[in-house]
Amino acid sequence: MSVVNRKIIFTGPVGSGKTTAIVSISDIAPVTTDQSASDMTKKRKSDTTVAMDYGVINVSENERVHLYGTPGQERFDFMWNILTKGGIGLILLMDNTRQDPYQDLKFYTGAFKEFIDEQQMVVGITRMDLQRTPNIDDYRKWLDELGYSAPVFEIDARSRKDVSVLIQGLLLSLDPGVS
Amino acid sequence: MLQKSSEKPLIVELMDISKQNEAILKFFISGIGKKVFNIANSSAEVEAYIIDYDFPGAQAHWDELYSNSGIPRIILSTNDPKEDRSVWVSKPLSSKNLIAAAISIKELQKKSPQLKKTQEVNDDAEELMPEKPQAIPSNLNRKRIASSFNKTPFKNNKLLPPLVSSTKQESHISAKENPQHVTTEAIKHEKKTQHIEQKKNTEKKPKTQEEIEAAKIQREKRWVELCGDRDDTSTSEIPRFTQENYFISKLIGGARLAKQSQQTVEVKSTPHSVFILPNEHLIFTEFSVNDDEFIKFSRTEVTSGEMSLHILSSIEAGKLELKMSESPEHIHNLESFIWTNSLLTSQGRLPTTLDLDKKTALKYWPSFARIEAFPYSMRIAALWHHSPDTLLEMSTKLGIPQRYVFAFYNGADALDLIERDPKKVKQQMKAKPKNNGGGLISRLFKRLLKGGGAS
Repeated sequence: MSVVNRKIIFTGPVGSGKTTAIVSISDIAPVTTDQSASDMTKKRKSDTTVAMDYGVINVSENERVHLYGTPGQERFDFMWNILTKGGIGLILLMDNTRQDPYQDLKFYTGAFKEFIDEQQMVVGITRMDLQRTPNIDDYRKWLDELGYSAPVFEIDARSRKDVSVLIQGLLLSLDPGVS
Repeated sequence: MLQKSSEKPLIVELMDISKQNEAILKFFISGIGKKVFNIANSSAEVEAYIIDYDFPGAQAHWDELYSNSGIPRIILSTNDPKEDRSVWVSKPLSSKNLIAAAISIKELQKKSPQLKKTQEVNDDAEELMPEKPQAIPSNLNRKRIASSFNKTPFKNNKLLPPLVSSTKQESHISAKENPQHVTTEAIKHEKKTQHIEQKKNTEKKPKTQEEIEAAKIQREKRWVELCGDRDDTSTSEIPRFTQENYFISKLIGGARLAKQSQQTVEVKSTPHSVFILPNEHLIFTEFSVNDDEFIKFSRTEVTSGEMSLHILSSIEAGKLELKMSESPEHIHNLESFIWTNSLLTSQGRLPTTLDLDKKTALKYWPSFARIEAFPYSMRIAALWHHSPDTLLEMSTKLGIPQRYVFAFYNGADALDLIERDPKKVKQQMKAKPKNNGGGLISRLFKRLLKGGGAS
């Protein structure tokens, strides 16, 4: 029996909780680049280390949803194209303590525009316990301005329940009739 | 654009690049960029460095240890640092730009052969040069170092990503930013995984069957409090209520006033007042949304003049801030508080003013991870957002009891999430669902529901 594999992409600025979110929801101990990269020697490795966070949700015996977190701080377009290929949707995590969340939102929605247009996006705002402004209404307004229509949830990336809600929002956005 | 086959790859060393980006660059170099770049096996081979100027401390590191090396650099950064003997690659990085940078460095070397000579001199003098620090074992240490760098003026300080970026933190919610706090943050970061484990443990479902049953009964009782328990009925028999007769009306009015004035507004009421902080999206009140007292309060009709709205003066706002820092347990999420109050008030009834034949749309989804969810609430949001309709039609399409759709309507209405303008409602109608995951999406959804969450 062949295995069905699908992908959900987690993206957002560094510190927005991508790794944590994947850790929270993954069925396996997530693979993080940090861990792998620390083993890297200085010498070139042809089969290089995973360059992203990775986790899995096992849906059934032969169905898996792979969770990939894009490297946060940097923006390496070719990597993103590889990552999003075959993905069912995007989870954009925004760190509310960053200096200019609007610019972050603009950047990431712009960078993944094609993918968002083809699939669907849901936005999770993290670290609102540390910084309350901008508030959730601001994000909704900004998304409007940028021409996107997506659910926006305040979340704690450490909470499995919150991350589950994000993914549920994504799935229902893809197919409102899903049951 | 690609390098001529006769030319050798540029031998580079990556420095001051985060582990993740280092991995990506190495991935790139071993794949698409393998004809253009090669990673040095020893410092003697290095023809150019690739350095990330947005990495905390990178520029200072270069200035301190490498500025005299004479070896050119490919600088990765968001802004052009305008440095000599370097090629800037702006972010977002692209393979095309990196390849172009390698070619530029090669050309630079051809034009200025002294670059190479200098390198040779430096190779001879390698023992005299301060040793390049070993790769720092973890991000934590990087952060600590960066935090100490941040204390001294930087040439290009703007490029540094903030470690704990906000200076606008609420004093009553979190510790104020200071160097010690930065370090504390770094330590917190290191312990993140541990925290997650703890969090997971606290979120575990009750273990015994009895506890599971008790939790289920409790949940169902709450759903009745929020949505009522009426069976579906004909249009004319749907129970109605006049929102203006209840506290929810004042609360919505207060939230609107607070938003417009950008000031904290007090809804003066007995036994407790409710303070609305619009920017922070918070409520401060001694009411607890789970208490019977609050349920009773929400459902009791108010008389004219019994409640009033008041914009706080700066002195009052200061006092409130102090109170909030002393009693954080009385702070509520604004959206969550209004949502719950609206549902407790309406309990599955509909406003008298609502035209049931009119199609409306859900403009924005409520923040589901913070509001009190009830059966089908997320499905209602998805359908209503995707396909504007009448409430009864939605109930039919989803095959769910009317009371849940009505409850959702009341919550969304109180939060001003509903689009009523017929033109905009029509615009919101989306072409077709984007589901290309087949039954997998449905199965994943069910799988997530088993693990808890909204619905």
